[in-house]
Amino acid sequence: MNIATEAQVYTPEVKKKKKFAVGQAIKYIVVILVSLTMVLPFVWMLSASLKLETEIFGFPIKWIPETFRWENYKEVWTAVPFHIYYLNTLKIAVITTILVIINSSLAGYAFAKIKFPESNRLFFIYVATMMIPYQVMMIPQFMLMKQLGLVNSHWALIILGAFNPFGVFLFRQFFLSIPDELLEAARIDGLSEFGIYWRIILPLSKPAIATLVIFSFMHSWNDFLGPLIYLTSDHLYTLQLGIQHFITEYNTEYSLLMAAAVSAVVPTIIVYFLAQDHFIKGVANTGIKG
Amino acid sequence: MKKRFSLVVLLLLCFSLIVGCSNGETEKSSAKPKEEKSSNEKVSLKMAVFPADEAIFKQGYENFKKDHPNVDITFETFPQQQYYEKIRMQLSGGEGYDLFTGQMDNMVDTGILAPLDKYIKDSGVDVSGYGSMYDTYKYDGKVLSLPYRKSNWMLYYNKTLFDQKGVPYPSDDMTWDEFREVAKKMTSGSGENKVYGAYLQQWPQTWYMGAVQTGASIIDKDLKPFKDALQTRVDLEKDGSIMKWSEQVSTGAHYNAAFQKGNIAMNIIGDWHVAQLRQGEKEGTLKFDWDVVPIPHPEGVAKNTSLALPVSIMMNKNTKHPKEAFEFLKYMTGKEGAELLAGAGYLTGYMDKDVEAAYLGDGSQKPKNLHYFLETKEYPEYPMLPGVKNVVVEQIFKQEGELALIGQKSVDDTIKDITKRVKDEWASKYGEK
Amino acid sequence: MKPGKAVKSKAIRRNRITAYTFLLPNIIGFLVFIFVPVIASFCMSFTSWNGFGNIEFIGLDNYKQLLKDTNFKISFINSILFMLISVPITLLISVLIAIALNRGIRFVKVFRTAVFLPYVTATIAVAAVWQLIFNPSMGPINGTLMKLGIDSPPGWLSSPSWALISVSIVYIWHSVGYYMILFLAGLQNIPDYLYEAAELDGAGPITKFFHITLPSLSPVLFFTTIIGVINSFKVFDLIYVLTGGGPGRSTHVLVYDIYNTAFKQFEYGYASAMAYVLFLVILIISIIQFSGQKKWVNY
Repeated sequence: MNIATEAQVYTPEVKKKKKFAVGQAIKYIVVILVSLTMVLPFVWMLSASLKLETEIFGFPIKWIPETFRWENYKEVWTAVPFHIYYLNTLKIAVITTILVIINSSLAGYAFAKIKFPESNRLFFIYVATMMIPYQVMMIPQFMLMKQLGLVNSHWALIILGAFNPFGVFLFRQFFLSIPDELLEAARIDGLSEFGIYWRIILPLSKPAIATLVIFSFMHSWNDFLGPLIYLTSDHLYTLQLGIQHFITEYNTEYSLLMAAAVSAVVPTIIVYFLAQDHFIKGVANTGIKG
Repeated sequence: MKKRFSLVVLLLLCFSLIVGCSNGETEKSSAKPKEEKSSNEKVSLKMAVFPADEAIFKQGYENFKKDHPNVDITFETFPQQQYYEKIRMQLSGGEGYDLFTGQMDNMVDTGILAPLDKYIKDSGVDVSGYGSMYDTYKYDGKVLSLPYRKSNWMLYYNKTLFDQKGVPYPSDDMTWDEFREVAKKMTSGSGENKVYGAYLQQWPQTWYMGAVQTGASIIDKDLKPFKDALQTRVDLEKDGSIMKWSEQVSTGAHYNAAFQKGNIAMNIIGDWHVAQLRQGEKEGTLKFDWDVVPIPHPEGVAKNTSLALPVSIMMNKNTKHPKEAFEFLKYMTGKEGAELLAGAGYLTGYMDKDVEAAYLGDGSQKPKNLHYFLETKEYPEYPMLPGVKNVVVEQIFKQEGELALIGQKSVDDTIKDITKRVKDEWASKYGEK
Repeated sequence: MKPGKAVKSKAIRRNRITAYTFLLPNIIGFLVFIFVPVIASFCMSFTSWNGFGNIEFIGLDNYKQLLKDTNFKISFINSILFMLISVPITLLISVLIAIALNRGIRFVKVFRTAVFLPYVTATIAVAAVWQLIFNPSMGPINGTLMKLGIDSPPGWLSSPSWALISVSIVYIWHSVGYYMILFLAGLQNIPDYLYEAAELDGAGPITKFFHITLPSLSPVLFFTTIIGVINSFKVFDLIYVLTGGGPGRSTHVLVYDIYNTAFKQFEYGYASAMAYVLFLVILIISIIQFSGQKKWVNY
């Protein structure tokens, strides 16, 4: 470490610095350009949501609305029961996420840290089901939910979200990277398996938990097909369904559509921001041993 | 171990099959309606309706309840785009809707529509009020639904724009070629000042209606009449007198917003547009004068020939209260319901002098020439033959027609491809007819 | 020998009990809500059923029918094309972005969020915005192209030859953030001393990339390739709202076709058969990837 920095000192300083500065400048320009293309549609959405309908089209694009029409938001939230859609989606996303964390981490622990004969075979079945498109399972799943009396209730969506093999896969990979010696030491100390899971594994897995929180929350939040099939009554609708409702009813009113979309996106960004630091570390440990 | 494992799999397989089949059984066991109850007993019914019609059905039910205090009806509705997939999923899962609205061709293959002939006979419904649609939409000789409204096509025009340009209003007896000329005359400007001669919604019917007006059907083996129809649309597109199909699709354009904006001279769309325009007037967003004339027709076809697509009420054959359910069906589709619906601007399935009077109102409301709707000769928009899935056929017309409209394929080739695909659907799935 | 075995089998039994206790909550849900439907839909692929009345067993007829079905053929080719276009480009772009945003840059959190933003944006909003961007006459892309002197710019979503590419562009844009996070994670596990040693040997950035970054990243790359292929075959929402499969059948992909067959035409058996062909394709690709991993993945 020291040697490396010292080596730098002895190189012709001016030249190096210039080269460094140019390279750095190019890097910044590229990164900023890419970021802009990523954000542009989002910004457009934001700007359109505050515009008059007639202002939206046309080229060149007016990025800043002539007058800020906050009424668009007011109209979105009053024209349809948007706050109900919001609460419904929040409820589904939060409960799903909590359940998925609990049952996936338990299962992931069994697959990663307990040696039993069917482990690999069973795990393979889990992974294989991830390759089957959701559309295949929808009809039998619907019939099953119907038999259980869960159609037209949020529980159908919560249950389907909570038993996602992805979570098990993620936790298994993460737990595999935790050294076995740590567990052995705890076993010798007389800690039960559950104790190990609860006291040692989970505290070490905060990044993995954060990762799954984001994925699971976002998946529930943005799910369209599930609510479309399972929810019948308007008062149970989720945001994604609510917005769809909007498109058919206000076919060309893009300003309202955008206001609805902006309103819908806020919580996912908050969740991403809160979990961002853990997030990156969490995936690091799961990705490697894949 | 392996053995035990496969045993578990096998057990699960059996379990799943039972789950799958038990659904069929429950359907059968509930198939027999209970014996008729005395009329005083409380009866609860559940009905699924189109979102746009929910309000009027609730209103109709309020009136109905006065004579039938024992019948309690709850209404449910789903977004229009997913209406049929939702209701079919619900029904196949055993959800008990006693009545539901819709276009019958989307539901008829389920086999759960109750034949209404006996009820109609017993209660002495005057079927002459339904006109030709009554016989046209019989299925296998049975009446499986009664229409509460139909959607006939009409040409709406912006009088103010015609006045500004000094172009005479469109006539009530106009061929598609003449329509094209008028549209050309009315088109002008660009960008903000663009005025389109006509607007044709991005549905396949808006181009193939010219063929259906000659009496042709979208499942004919010989689709020659469709060639002219498509050619007319392609010509309009070339003239630039309509908004381009690609433009419409990529902006999610909509006939109502487009016409109300005021820069479209003529709009060909269904009768329900009357209500939308009246709404616009009430809210003050509509700022021009307008009227209707019959849609253009092909050479040699009588004027005011239109397509009709009835929306009906159907009864679930598994309903526990067929008598009460039919009572409400009869009420909404019959004279009383028709008068209510007509008064609200619906073109009703049932028509007689009184309903017509209710539809026309006192003449204070636009359009001035509303009466054209009552004088149309109508052809069914879709055929009603056992085994034909109109959804599939319509999709073929949409997909292939689209290619001609964006200039990817010649009209001749397009019709050839449609003919082939329609035939394939028939040959492969429904047997050669 | 004997007592050892007994101890071992006792340990196995105890482990098994513990394992299944941990698995219990998940495995019940998994078996009932995922595994049973999978098997049931597999059985359904040998039947003809519209959701009502009797389920008719028709053997392999659905699969035979698929061989003759041009609609299916077109969707199949579209799905493969979509995968071939989108997966490599997505992975390439996200690797490059991840490297750029890995270290030595200010405002890293802001940039990372910017790149991740499309992924958290609702599909419907994404589609609505891109439809306007791609608008052939009023959109900014073609507006710029026309200003640059290109007289007939592509019709993007409304042109059959460009629609699949346009959808791929949106898909790539949409999922780059997701893969970037995975690559970032991989990059952070590469020890710094490897780079420092290489620098001492006078290695330039390109050498460093090919000799250190890429090999160290290969396990993640392998993981993302598999997930990427699976995800690209499953694309549905984006196409549903962007093009509805059009124009013509140019963006009709398999999953879209499956949805249409099951929920617009109500041919549940036939739709299941389609889905199992798709499953087989993904499975084969995954098996190829798994068997090939020894050659290029460093563990």
